[in-house]
Amino acid sequence: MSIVIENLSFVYNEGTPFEVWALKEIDLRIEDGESIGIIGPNGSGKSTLAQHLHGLFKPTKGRVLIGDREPVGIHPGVGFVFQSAEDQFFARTVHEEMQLGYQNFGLSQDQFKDKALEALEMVGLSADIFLRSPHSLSDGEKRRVAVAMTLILGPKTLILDEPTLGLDPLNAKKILEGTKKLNHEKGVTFILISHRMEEILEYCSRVLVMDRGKIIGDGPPQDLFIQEIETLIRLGMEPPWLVRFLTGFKAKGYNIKYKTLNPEEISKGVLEALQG
Amino acid sequence: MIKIENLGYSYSQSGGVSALRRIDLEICEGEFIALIGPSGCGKTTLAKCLNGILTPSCGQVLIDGLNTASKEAKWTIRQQVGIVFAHSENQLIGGTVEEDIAFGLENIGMEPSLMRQRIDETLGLLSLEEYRDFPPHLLSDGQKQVVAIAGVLAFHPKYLVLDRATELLDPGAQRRVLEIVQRLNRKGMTILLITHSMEEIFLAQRVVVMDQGKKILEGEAKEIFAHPIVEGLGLSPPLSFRFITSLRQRGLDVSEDTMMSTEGVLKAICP
Repeated sequence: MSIVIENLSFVYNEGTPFEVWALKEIDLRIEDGESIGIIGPNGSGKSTLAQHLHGLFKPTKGRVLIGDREPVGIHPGVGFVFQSAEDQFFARTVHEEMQLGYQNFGLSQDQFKDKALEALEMVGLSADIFLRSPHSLSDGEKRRVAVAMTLILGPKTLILDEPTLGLDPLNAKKILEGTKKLNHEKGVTFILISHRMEEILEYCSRVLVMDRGKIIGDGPPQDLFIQEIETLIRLGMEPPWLVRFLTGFKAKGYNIKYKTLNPEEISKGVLEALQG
Repeated sequence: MIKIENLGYSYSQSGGVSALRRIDLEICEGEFIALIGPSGCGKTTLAKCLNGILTPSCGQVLIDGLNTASKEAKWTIRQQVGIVFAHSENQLIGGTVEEDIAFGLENIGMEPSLMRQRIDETLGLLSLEEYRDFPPHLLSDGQKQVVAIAGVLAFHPKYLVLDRATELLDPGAQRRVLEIVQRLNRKGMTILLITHSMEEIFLAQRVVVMDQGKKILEGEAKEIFAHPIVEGLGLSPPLSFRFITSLRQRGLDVSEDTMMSTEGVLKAICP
């Protein structure tokens, strides 16, 4: 299920003094099974773009095709985990909370429990959480339940909007590894919005850089972060340490070869470059 | 000096699970300490015990010899120990940024001319001058959090506790706030930085690791990662640390103290 965006523009508060063009003439094609990171400063249009990828927002201009068709309402094949989605929990148990979303999509209740446990397991949670109150969970567990609630719907495309914000490394890892595994093993398209460029480097093979409603960069993160380092810094982003190091190393006249931005591989390259 | 002795805390009166168990820790004046550990390990509970928001269930906390359990001492302790929490922006109440920063200072009855001076200085320090007359609720979450930090710094606290205080900030703003914190530390302010960022702990002279309410490890950042227990908590070293370790293993003379600074490493390896 590819997603095609043609000449997409979106305006908030049209015709009022608060009118803002959040997206400006965007063209984009997302193939089945890709893993894409979206970065950019606050207000650059990342979340607004993502909202178009599952049909919550309708374009002001242009069009969005999800699997060759313009979506009518929210597309059932696209799962969206909103920022701090756990803030909306209100049921008495994790079981009820998960069941509500599932029912809303009109899915059969027969397999609910198996699917729910499978979804929880994907983010490293065990069955004993099922009967607990969602409000008694730690921040990390709550966020993982929120992700599982989307996974239970069996999305073909998964969009995560800052899923690790405020989490400790272990919880962050469980979410990213679990969802990335779906991308690897089942070919689910993976779209990650994050300010943490290290995450994009580790989990995405393509990155989109957004600024003021436009996509100003599109490519593999390990190349693009280095080529566009000055732009990224100007936009207030913090390129990963190794990227900043390599830029400085290059400025001193050394070029090294590497396939991935892996610390051990880079250090080998550095030694070879120094030995000439 | 902050002296934490045999500190225990339980949220339930009937003695359910303890959030803190028998913690001993001394923080000397001018130190920069990082506190890490998985969610729910007790970091925030510990922070709340440092200025008497929570009173210990057992043991005691002494701030320059004053016991946080003493009602009379709290007034003084709270001016000495400034705490910024992860979502302090929810506590902003002033009609403008300036009024919000003034709120705490007014509460302790600070003389108006000194208050004016403190506000100007803090707005300048955190580059908030242009927002002086701005209503805080119209700022972004990250900007609100910087205002919350300003409100605490205006007190000139002797001890500054940052409980994941920069988490909501965008990466550039995060770096700027941490640079300011380092500068304040060099001028003598004692810092306790509670964080989930394994890069940030290299700013500290000493790192304390907590798990399940206990202090389980203490040492310099580079020593922490050598310990097998840390990996099990999901606390893996940052890529920069792995890179420098790898350079050292290949025989290059790079000090681990150059962590955080790419310039430091470049200077060490490039002839």
